[in-house]
Amino acid sequence: MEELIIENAPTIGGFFVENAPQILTVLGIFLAIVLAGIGSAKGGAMISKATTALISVQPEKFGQSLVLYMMSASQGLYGFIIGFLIFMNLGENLTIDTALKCFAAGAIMGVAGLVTAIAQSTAATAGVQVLAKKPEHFMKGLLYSAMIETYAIFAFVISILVVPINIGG
Amino acid sequence: MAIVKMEKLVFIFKTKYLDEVLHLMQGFQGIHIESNYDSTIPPSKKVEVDKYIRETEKNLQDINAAYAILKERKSTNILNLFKNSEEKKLNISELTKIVEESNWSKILEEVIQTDRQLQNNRTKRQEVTKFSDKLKIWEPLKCNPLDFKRFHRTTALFGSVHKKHVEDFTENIIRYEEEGMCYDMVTENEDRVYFLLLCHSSMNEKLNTIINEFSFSVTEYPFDKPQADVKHELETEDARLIEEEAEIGKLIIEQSKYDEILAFAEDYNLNALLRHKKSLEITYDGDNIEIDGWIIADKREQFKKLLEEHIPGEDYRMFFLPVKDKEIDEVPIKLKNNKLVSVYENLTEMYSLPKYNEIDPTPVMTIFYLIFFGLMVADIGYGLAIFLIGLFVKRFLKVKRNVKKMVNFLFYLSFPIIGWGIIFGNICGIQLSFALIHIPLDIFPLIILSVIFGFFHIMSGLIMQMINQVKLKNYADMLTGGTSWFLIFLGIAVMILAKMTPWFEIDILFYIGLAVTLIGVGMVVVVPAVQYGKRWYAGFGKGLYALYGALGYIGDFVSYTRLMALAVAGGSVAMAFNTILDFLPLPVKFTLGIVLAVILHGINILLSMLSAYVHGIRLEFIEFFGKFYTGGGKKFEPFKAAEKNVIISDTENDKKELL
Repeated sequence: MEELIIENAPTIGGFFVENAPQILTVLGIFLAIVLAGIGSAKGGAMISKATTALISVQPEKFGQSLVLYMMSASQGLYGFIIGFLIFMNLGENLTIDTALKCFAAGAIMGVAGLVTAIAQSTAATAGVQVLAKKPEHFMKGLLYSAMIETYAIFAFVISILVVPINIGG
Repeated sequence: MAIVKMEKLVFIFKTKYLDEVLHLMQGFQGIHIESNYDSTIPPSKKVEVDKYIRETEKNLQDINAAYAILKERKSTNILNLFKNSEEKKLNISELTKIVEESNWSKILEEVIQTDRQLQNNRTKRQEVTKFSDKLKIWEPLKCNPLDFKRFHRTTALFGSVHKKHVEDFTENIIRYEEEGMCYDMVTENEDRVYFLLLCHSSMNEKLNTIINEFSFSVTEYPFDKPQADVKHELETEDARLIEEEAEIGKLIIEQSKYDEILAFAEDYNLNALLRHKKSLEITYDGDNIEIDGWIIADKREQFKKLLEEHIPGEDYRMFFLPVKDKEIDEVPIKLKNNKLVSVYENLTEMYSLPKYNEIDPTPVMTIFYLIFFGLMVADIGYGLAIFLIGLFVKRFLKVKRNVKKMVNFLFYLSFPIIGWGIIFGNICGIQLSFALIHIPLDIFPLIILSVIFGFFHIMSGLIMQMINQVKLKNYADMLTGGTSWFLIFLGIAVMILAKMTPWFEIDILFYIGLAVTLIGVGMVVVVPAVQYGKRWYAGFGKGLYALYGALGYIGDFVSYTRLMALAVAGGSVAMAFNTILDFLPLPVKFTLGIVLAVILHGINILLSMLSAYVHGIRLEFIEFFGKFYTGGGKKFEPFKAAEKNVIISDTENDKKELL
């Protein structure tokens, strides 16, 4: 590492090289929180658009429609957890090895969260139809959406294996 | 612990007993009637039944109207939540007796009549207030406004101007005082001042100009009696109305006790409606009626006895036939399990009920569902919260049946949640020192643990498949399907044990495992080859293709890692919330912080429980049921009472008492 540092006046490139571990780690947090958050927010908006239309006609189904809405929320939550675990690594003696792992974990969760949240919400939006017409089979509609979450869970599993854990230990 | 045994019932009786028979069945609740939609009901009978249906529907409408009135009268306060809303328990003849002896139709009329009186009273009182308001501006006037019309040479006008014009207006009038124009300021309200104007008739034109200039608006006296008389009249009327209202109030209090009888009457009418509708769906044959259906085999004698007591023996014939093989698809399914398992029967039902010759997967499913759910939430604090809420509702609140069911569903889940919480040493996200597995440090042990549970889950699925195949006598399928894969996974498990763990490091064990695996693989390939006989190569090919199914099994095992993922998710969120709360300064932490903690952890409980519920079901439906279960049975729906407000008790029901 030492050899890479340019001895002369500080340059932008020099700044990035010098602070590479910190920058990578922060980028990891950024990806995990922002991308997964975008996915959940976009998905949530899709679902609420459909459920709001339903509630205007059948307001008594509000409780169940909330459960459908929740389908979009988990990716944001996973992103938050990964972001939080990465955050716990930020500090003085951050090595490039840890930083790279943090970046990878954040990227995995962020990208997978973004895509799966939107896909899952598309399924949940279709589930609103079941809730409207055959509420007794509502759980079946919900299950399709839950199947898609499998891939977010896989990403979360790998992501949590990759991220160095620095809590209470 | 299984599917309830059924018998086919053919029941023939004289038409005149129709309503009584159906009434008995409603109390008995053990007979599933097969509807005959092209019923041979005679036209005259159909007209009669249609008339009954219309009458009953009208009754129900009236009852609902009266019910709504009674409900509206009750103050809605939070304490009502804790009120006894549990359904009464009666048997059907008690219900019928109570309702028929009460004159509920008179009660209905009374309630509706009283409501009409109350509305009337309210409208009248509103009118009185309206008139009193009108009278108010006239009251300060000393003279009788009715006299104004009688003046010959004097013009008298009563009216108002806007407050901001008052000074200019009065100045203008005073200018003509000499010529016989005068005013009296009578009263005022928020923005207008009321005047009485008097002038000689010859001055009318001048007066008009002033009036127009200041937009003086003339008010006509709206009554035909002097103010004092009108006031007196209104006061007496008001007093009378208040008295009347008190009378009605007494009636209302008296009527609030009709709540129960109306609830009973509603059920009574709903039951009658069900009977009338059913009588359109059965077979008529001259003087006789035939009902075909299914009866719970254990309750056959009970039904015989019931009929003996009520209907003369020569007027009916009954036949009970055992289920034939070709009828298996038609037999309605009723599950019967112990107190714990029966709570989770509706999960099986959500997928599909088993066929009559299949085995009921609910008991095994319940065990794994509880374990998985507990593992996914795994927190002593959260478990205790659910446990205490459940216990409170069960002990102190009397709630409706369906609420009771839901509470039980969650209540039993609280035990595994606490159990796993102890293993993880996790209480509301705080790690305790005795934790066997630390979240989120011990990710690998947790993944292995999840897959081990998955292993047992899949193995029991395969065992269930074997049992089903034996029941169906498909021995070849049993060998290629369930048994072979069972052996393969068992062998692999033994090999892993022999290689990976310190306690079983015995070479011989490894070879035994390998042998078992190879036997399994051999069975997948060889059994179809033997089955195909001369075309053995085709069977062999089919067997090889079946080995490709291993990919599916790998996917299944990986799928169980979700147990670990959700456990870590819930645990880490709780931990993150605690870390955030820790940043609060001390005085805030122990005031607002506590409220915040309750809210945040409440959200986490809800989210964790929802994920655990859905993903628990997914593991059961896809990974477990997928191995052996086809389902497709139709539900046993006995002809019974409506049970909207009253539970019709019978011996069966008492046994199934949930709490």
